[in-house]
Amino acid sequence: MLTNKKSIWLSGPYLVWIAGFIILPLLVILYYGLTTQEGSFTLKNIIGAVTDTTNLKATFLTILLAGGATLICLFLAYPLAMFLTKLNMKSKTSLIFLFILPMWMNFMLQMVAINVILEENGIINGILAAIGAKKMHVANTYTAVLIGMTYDYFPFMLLPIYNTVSKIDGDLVNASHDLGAGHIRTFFKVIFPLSLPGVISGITMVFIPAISDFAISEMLGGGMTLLIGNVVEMSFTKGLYHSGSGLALILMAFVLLSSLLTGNKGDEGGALIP
Amino acid sequence: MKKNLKYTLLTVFVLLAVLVSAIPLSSCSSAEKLYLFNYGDYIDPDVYELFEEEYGIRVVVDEYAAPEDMYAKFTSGTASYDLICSSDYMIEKLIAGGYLSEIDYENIPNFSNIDENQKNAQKSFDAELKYTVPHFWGTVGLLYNTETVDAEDVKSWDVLFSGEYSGRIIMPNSERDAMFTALKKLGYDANTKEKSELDAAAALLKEQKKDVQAYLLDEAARVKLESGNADIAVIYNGEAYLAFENNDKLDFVIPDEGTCIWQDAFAVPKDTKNKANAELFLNFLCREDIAKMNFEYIYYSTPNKAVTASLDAEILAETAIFPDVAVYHDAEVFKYLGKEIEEYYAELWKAIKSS
Repeated sequence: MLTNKKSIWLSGPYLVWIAGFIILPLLVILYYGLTTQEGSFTLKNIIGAVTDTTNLKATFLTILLAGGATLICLFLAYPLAMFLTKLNMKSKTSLIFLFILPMWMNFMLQMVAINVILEENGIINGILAAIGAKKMHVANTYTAVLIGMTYDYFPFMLLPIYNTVSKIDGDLVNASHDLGAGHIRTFFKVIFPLSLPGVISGITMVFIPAISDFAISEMLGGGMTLLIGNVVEMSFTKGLYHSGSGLALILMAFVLLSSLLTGNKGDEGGALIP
Repeated sequence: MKKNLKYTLLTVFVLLAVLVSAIPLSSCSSAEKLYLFNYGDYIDPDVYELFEEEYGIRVVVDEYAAPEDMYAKFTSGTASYDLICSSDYMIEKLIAGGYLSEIDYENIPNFSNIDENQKNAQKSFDAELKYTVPHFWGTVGLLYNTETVDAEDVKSWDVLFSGEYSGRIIMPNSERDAMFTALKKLGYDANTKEKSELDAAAALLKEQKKDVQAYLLDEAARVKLESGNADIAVIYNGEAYLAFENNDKLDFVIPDEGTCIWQDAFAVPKDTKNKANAELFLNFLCREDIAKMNFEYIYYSTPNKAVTASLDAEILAETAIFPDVAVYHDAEVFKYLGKEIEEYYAELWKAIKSS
């Protein structure tokens, strides 16, 4: 066996990676976020990031949409995970495969396809028109972004929940029934508490990427939805590196906060890959 | 001990692999290269092949969508280019910033193909004609669906703000163009630096947002009209002509209040390592046959008079490609407004988008 001291060398290649592509960029953002264009120290960028009304509006909308997508994912994924555990091995594997399949498709294609479905003359409105119903105006709205987020992040909710639910010992459920608890009571007193690590892990894996997302709102929001990620992107493409970095730091603080709130409870048995 | 050695070797090997892969790929190939930074899909790809055949120089193209994106990337210094193509006010900003190198027009004999009127327009951003070679020019107008929109309505920019076509309007996803429509409607100058006027235009756009279906540029906006998903789009004239080819119910009009003329031009950055090759390529682009290839690929108005002289009367009469001279003389050209107003524009734009 290798001693601990020597085996640290095995992580060498990754340490090089982390230093070059994670630590260094973070330091650059920290530098830009805390300086003015002339290079002197300032807190203006940070304060501006949290006091500017546009940024506040964007932050509020981001939390609303990311939170909404997380909740929808949860309510769709939990019953599905319960159903999956009841299936035999063969159909279980193929069904899970089906749910992961969209992740293999190019992200741009996914978004373009969703847009084609939702558009004014899209597939849904085509069907609605055929049966004589009123057209929906969903394309380029907040709802379209919400649908896109839910679609994109759904597998990240399903898999951790499925993992914990499938590991629950059937004897515990039987014991609960033997002791007189009904289905509903068994669910709330036994199954749900035991699956909590998976739920928390799923929430983390959906909510955190969703609050920093800018591509989904850009592609499905038609430039009408400004999330905090879009504001950061806008600042950088317009060359406003300092205020953009200030915003990025605030966003990072958000991400860190939500991982701290959920992180230490979610790691148990809630891995992404089954 | 033996196992230990194996692991050490493995680590060394992986580190070596990382180092080797870090050596830039470009050093492997010996062919001469010319690095061009351009708007997306703005030169016929066959032109690059012909250039390589004739001169043995490969053109490596990097593309961008909005002039502001180009400026941010170009000035960040992360990539170096031999030639860039951008729009009037952005070139003016690059000249003012001292980023451009003077072109030796002696090396570009085909520059004589450029129309005198266009050289005058060129002087609005390159006052002494020292830095640029025009690529295309055109106007901004309204592309609309003749079946659903009344032709009388689109004679004024007001149609975008009246609320009559709510949910069927595509506005440009670029602050200068979007603000331009509102400034025109309010009767202000397109290059105004008065913050009160800019505020009024921004307030108008905020109010208008509920009627807008999406903010899109160029091709994305055109496709919405072609597919019938929207009825009116603010668009550059060249896109309009392409739109007619795909949907004959569409028409393009320049509202009576007037429009702005834009001109896109090539310039050579100061830090180029290949100025001679850049000038060679510019001369190539101004050559009649090549300029014609590009024209037939894009259908924006070409400043090349050798090309226009060779065109059919039918195409020359197409106002979506060659706007009337009357329109042309009244039109305004976007000027660079200075850093302060530019940042003010960015703030207003952000507020409009988040409203």
